[in-house]
Amino acid sequence: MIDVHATIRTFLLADGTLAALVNTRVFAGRDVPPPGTNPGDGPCLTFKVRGGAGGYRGRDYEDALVLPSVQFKAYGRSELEAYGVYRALVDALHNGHGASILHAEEAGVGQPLEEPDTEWRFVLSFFDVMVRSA
Amino acid sequence: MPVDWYEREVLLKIEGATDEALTALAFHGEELAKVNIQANGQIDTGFMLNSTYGLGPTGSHRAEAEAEATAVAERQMAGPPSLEEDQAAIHAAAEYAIYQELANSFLYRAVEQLQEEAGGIIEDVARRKGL
Repeated sequence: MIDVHATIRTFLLADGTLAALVNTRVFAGRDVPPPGTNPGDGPCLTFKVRGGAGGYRGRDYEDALVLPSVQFKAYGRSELEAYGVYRALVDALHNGHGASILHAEEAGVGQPLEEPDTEWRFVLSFFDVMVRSA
Repeated sequence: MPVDWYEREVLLKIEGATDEALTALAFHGEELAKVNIQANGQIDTGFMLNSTYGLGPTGSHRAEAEAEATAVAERQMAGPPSLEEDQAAIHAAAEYAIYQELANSFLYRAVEQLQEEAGGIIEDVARRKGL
């Protein structure tokens, strides 16, 4: 089966603007940054699949396409920096396509929020992504 | 921090549904969301569970939800969403519900489950209406 998280992470890190902002701090399969990572040290991005369709399972295309709904949280040291990461994410992923991403589309506009426990600022967004076997 | 969070994408479009069917869908979606909350282990006081309710053109479970939720915790529920005449909703009215949803989805998952079951629910309502 396609590794959706790894595929999306690779796709995002190939975007120069986004990579310049977050370096390699793109955490797949996570709601919040991992222990030891503090958005106060620099912006980062977390994402995870929250649902979606299993994909097209025609005879010749078994597991060739997965259509997840993906939740993204763009963190920054301030609301503005978080929004900058979010904008870079949209530029990289919305209407994006490549060898492994057939199509991606943002579902609604990102919403600035704050983690209740840590007060980290982030922008929440969701994308529908069509991931295919490269 | 109170959050009003509406997600366009958590929308399930049902063509040709009656008002009764829309409301029945919302009530069933409420049940599914509550089952998911329990399955996800997202119960502390029970406020979020009890303050999740369905509403539609012909009815709302908000009053019951408010009575049950405020009986288990001293919190206020977020105000009801304003719906157009052909809309129904499942409202998770605890202000912290969004963070539970992001950590482990109970609402989006309920809508996906509802999508799979919607045909059956609409058929049941149509039968009761003699359609």
